[in-house]
Amino acid sequence: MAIFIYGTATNTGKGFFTHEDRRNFFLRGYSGHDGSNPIDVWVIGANEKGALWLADASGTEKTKAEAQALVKAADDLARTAWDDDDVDDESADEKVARIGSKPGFITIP
Amino acid sequence: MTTYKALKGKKVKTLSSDPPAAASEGQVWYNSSGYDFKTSVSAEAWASGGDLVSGRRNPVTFGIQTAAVVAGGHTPGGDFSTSETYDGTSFAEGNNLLVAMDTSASAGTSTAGLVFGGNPGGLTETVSYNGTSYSEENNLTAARYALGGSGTQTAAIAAGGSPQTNTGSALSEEWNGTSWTEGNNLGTGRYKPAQTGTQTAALFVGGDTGPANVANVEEYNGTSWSEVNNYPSTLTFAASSGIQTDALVFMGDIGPGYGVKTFGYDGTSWSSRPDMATAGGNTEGCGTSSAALAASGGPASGRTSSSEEFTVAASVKVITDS
Repeated sequence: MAIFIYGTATNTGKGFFTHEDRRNFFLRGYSGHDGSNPIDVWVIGANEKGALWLADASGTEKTKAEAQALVKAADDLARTAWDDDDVDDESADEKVARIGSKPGFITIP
Repeated sequence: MTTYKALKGKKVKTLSSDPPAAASEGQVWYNSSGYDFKTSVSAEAWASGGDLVSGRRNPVTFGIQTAAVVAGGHTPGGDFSTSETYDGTSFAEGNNLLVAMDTSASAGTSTAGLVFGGNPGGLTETVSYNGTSYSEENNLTAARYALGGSGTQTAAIAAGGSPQTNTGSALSEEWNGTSWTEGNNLGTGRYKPAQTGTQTAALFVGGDTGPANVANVEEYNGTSWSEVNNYPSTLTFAASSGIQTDALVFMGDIGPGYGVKTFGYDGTSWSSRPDMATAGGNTEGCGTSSAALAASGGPASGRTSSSEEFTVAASVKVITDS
């Protein structure tokens, strides 16, 4: 039996996931990108309440590979944006001080 | 077979409906409508909060969970000066900082705040907030960014940071409501820490010495810093809430990558608390150890406009034998 359900759903802010939800099922959110727009990717505990939460959130279920691809697409964009964010005569250390370290790749569980 | 009365000296009440969860914590009763034995238990969790108007990395956050200010930070367009207020439900744009301030530190409440230090270029800038607008104050004695800050608008402490060289500073300064005065240094100079507490009882957690991220934790007693039990891992750009003897430290870069972990500190040791839903860092956090706010910030792959709220809530549970 699968441990997790994977899906996308837009985080609408307050009330999107509640204190009770967090106690009822595992939930972890990641930044994703579908090629056109940013998208919120969720890894959800595979129980009835988790599945109902994704449905209530008007979410779309994904396979793990699909979810990971969305997260990788966001990581790729963030890394490219980091590479392109240069200031003339700025050292590598100064760049890190200004915008932080280059983003890495995230592997979803 | 023993009975509840034999163990506790009293009978279990029979009720046709459940009492309020918050008022019945720790009690046991029989619900005659549902034919269940029930109790009320308290539990901690992170839930989603309101979305910011503008997501940003490295903002300052001061106040409490239901009355907070998130200001400054960095977006792809550069450092910026916007400031937002949070009422526990939604964020609203307020008056701007006087200058762009990124990776600064803060102290105080949503009606009496203080913001100091940061980028661009290493700042000594200090501004106060009265709940409506920011005013210029006397500067820090030494420019630095990614420093720790805590306390109140009239009694704050600024510690650590980096003088724009990516090496950790051990400087510690006290604010008396008018000016900054240099105090005794941290034991280990570093930047990107989490800091919470007061001017006379502060907690400084993790950070980057320049060569390396560290798990070191120091306490300030109003005069000097002393080393205490380490955080469970190395940690930079984490957020915090609470006081020195009852603190929460959450999210941050646990190297490599941003985490969801939350740990509590009781003045002596660290204990694991419920994870956040979304990994992040590069934000300060505010509130208490039982009602904290984590707003905006990382993860490293982008800026987020979302927030999460840590709360302790009681709920009624059916007692089962499994």
